[in-house]
This record gives sequence, structure tokens and C-alpha cells, in this order.
Amino acid sequence: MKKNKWWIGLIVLQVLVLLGIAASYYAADHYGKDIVLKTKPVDPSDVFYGDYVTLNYEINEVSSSLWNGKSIEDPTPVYAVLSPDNDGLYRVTKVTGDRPDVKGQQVYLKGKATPSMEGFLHLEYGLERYYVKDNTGKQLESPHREYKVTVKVASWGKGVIQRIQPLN
Amino acid sequence: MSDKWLIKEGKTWVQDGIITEEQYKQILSKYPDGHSKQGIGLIPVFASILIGLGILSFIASNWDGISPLYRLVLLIAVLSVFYTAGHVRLKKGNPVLGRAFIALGIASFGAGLILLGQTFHFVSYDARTFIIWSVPALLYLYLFRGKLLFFISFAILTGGQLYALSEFSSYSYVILILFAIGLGWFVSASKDKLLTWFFSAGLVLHLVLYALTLEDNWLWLIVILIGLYAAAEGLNQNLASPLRFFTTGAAFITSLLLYFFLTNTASSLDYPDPLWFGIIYILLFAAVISLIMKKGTFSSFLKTGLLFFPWFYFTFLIGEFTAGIIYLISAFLFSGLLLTEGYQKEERSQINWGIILFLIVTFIAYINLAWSFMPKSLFFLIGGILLFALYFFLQKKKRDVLEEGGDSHEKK
Repeated sequence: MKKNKWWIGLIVLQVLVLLGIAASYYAADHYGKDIVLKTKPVDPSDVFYGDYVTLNYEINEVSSSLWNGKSIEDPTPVYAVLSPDNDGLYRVTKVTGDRPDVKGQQVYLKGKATPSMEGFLHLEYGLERYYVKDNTGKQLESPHREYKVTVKVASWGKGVIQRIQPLN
Repeated sequence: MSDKWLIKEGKTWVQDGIITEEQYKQILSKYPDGHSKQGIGLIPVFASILIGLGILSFIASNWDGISPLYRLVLLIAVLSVFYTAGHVRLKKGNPVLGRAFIALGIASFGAGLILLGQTFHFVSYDARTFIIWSVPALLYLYLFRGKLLFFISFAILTGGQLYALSEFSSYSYVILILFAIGLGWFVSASKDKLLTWFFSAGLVLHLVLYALTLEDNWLWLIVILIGLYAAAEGLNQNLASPLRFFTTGAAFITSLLLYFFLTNTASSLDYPDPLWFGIIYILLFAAVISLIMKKGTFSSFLKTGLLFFPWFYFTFLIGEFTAGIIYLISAFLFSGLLLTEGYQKEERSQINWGIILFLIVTFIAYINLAWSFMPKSLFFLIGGILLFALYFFLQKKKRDVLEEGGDSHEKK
């Protein structure tokens, strides 16, 4: 009898993986703090994922002076501490290698840092794609428009995009 | 070979008195009507591929009406149904259909992963999704075998590597290991010729991609290839010949590239640290030679070994141009030796490869040397004539050799 059951376990395991990933996002949704980021979207098309826009945030490029570790040559996992400006938009105020302490309005995002132009670092947070309904990406793409993106940030550094609106 | 061909040809053999009617029947009975059955057996496989593609594109095209949570629940239901159907079919002794359903289950699992990324607008910047996806694929391959499951795992791992590399410039070692060990284990046990060739081509591809991520140090590729060659000689008999084929092919292309780069002064190359390169290279080369000596196939390695020699380290002595020319000569020698050896052994396929490679080398050498100082119309004209002449000469030689050796075993 025992031999007949193992394959059900295999299915359950795969279902749990899917549910686990979903739960981690829903947890970020639920426990996260709303922050607003500024961006400019452009649209390449992706064969695999249907239609999406690529988002370029202001927080993708940061001054290397915010990073206190050794100079970055290869992709390095980092934590970016973000604080709100007077206009309510979040900007990176510090980049660290260890999990930072954040107070009050501050949040931190996990990211990957790579070298950029002289004096700058390029940070990627996994928030740079926004999937849209088929073929509506073009509307978001209209040139030189800036957008603000609301992101829920969980206390463990994970961000989930909530919505995207024109800035002006 | 198809049954129809045998039935038709066999009759003429009887008429020509080569075999008797009795022998003709015996030969036919040795090849039962297995091929046409195999053809029909492929239909469920194709059907499952179509359904799998259907599911993937269904997910990818953002079905708007349904909330993400329900989409996930729906996918989980689909996944469970496919896997269950697969297990039921396998248990009832229908492996082809059973594996096809399992394959659909694997496709649904991947669709679920992609859907989640899409729903939450998440980019992973690496091959993570594909790694997770490949785990059940490899597990089911291990449990139920079968070509279909092999190709699914192959596609997920190779597609994942290519996707992560082209999209995010991120090479995944985990995928390389899963491919080399997960699939390597399977093909070395399966003894299926098609699978060993696919696996070998894939493995060389994954390693070439890795070498490309090293940028200035891409010439480590030579060490990687010779390592693979050694592994092929030492590890597994089933894999030795396809791995030899593809590593040699990659080394051949590398030699031609080096010839091209080194003889064009505008491009200057960076080389890997000679100390480490030298040590590892010599160790691996020695390993290959000792393995080959044991097998007594040393002479055939002589020509292949030509392609693996790091002449680029001698540019300080002989200059870049000369080193480039040495690479050209090596490529010529290799294809020439391949051809002569083919003529001696009267092996048609080796002769054909020799001809093709010889023509390629000639043409590339011609383009590189003549392009800059010849009028273009003359360049094309002479190039065409040169190729034609060589082609006819080599084909004629091939016919002569193959026809002379009347009772050659390779003659078809």
C-alpha cells in the first residue's frame, strides 16, 4: 500500500512550492509598507513572459559614496536603505552589505549592485518589470513621461509593485 | 533503414541471385514492423507538446478576468490532474501516454512559476525559475525514464541557461551541474545513441557559453574542452565518441577564430594567466595521453591534439601573425589528416567530414587573405572556382577510393 502513495507526495511537494512562493508575495503585500518611487518606463517585448514594461527607477543609479564597503567589480548582493524626500518619493540614503536597522519612515530593499559610470553604482531590485495586459505597454511608454510606482516593502527587504501612475 | 526500403531492395537481391528467397524472408523477419508502430507511438508525444504549449501561451497571455489567486488554483488543479493521469496510465502499462501526461504536469508546474513571477511583477535576474522547474523534471526522468522526459529536462535546463545569459548576463553553475550530472547520469545508463549525442552537444554548448562569460579569459575554453575530452576517454564508453566529436568540433572552430583574430592586427587578444593555464593544461593533456595510450588509440589523437595546442602563448616569440598562420595550418592539417584517414579506412562519413572541413578552412583562409587587396568581383569569381575545383577533386578521389575497395564494409 505504501508504494502507491509516494507519487501523491511528489505532487503535493510541487503544489507546496507554488503556494509557498505565492505566500511570500502575499505576506509582503500584507505586512509591507507603501513607498513611492520615481521612474521612466520603456518597452522591449519578451518572448516568454507576454507583455511588460521595463521600469528605470531613480533608485537604480546611486552614488558610490553611499556604499561603505570595498569597491564593487562583480555583481554583489546588497541592502539599500531608502528614506522619503520632502515630496514623499523614496531615495536611497545608504547601501550596505549587512542587513541594516531601519527606523521610522525608512525601509530597506534587497538588491544586486554592479559597477556603473564613474562614481555610481547600478542597483537592481527585481522590481524593474511591470507586466501589463496584452499590447497596452505602449500606452505607458509615451516618451519622456515620468511615472510613480507604489511598492509594498516587507520588513525583510522584499518589494512588490502595487500600481503605476503618471507623475505629471 | 525503413522496412519499405528493405522489402523493395530485398526483392532485387533475390532476382540478382545475391540471396535466396528463403534468406530474404529470414532477413525480413529480423526487422519486424517496429518502425511504423513507433511512428504512431509518437502521436501522444506530439499531442502533449501541443497541449503544453497551449497551457504556456494561455498563461503568458494574461487572462484578465480571473484574479491571480484563482489562476494559481486553476493551474494547481490542472497540474494535479495531469500528474495523476500520468501515474494511472503508467500503472496500467501504457508508458508512452503516461510519460506524456507527466510531461504535461511538468509543463504546468513551470507555467505556475512563470505565472507567479508575472502576477507579482518580479524579475529574478538569474536562472532561478528554471532551476526550480528542472528539479521535478529530473526527478521524473529518474523515476520513469523515457526520451520525452529527457528532452523536457534538456529544454528546461538549456533554455534556462540561454535565457538567463541573454536576458540578464548571468551564467548559472547550478544549471551546468544539473545538466552535466542529472542528464549525464541518465544518458550514460540509457545507452541510447540519440540521447548521448544530444547530451554531448548540450554539454559542450553549456561549457562554451561559460567560456564566453569569462570575456578576456575566454581562451580557458581550450582547457575546458581538453578536460571534457579527458573525461570522455576516462569515464564512459557510451559518451566517449559523441563527446569527442563535439569537443573536437568546438576546438576546430576555436582554431579558426584564433587564426582570424591573430592575423587581423586590429584585434588584440587577452590571454588567461599563463602559469595556471599551463599547469592545468599540461596535467589534462597528460591525462588524455595516458588514457589514450592505455586504449591504443594514440594515432587518432595526434590529429585532434593539433587543434588543442595553445600557440597564442608563443606570440611574443613568433609574432601574432605567424601564430595565426600556425592555427590555420593546424586546421588544414586536421581536416587533411581526417580525410586521409577516411580514405585509408574507406569510411564514407569521415571522408565527407574531411571534405566539408577542408573546404571550410580553405574558404575562410581565402576570405581572410584575399578580401582586402583583391577587386571584389575577382575575389568572388576566384573563390567560387577554387571551391568548385576542390570539391570536384575531393569527390572524385572519394569515388575512386570507395569504388576501388570493392567489398568495403562501409560501402552503402
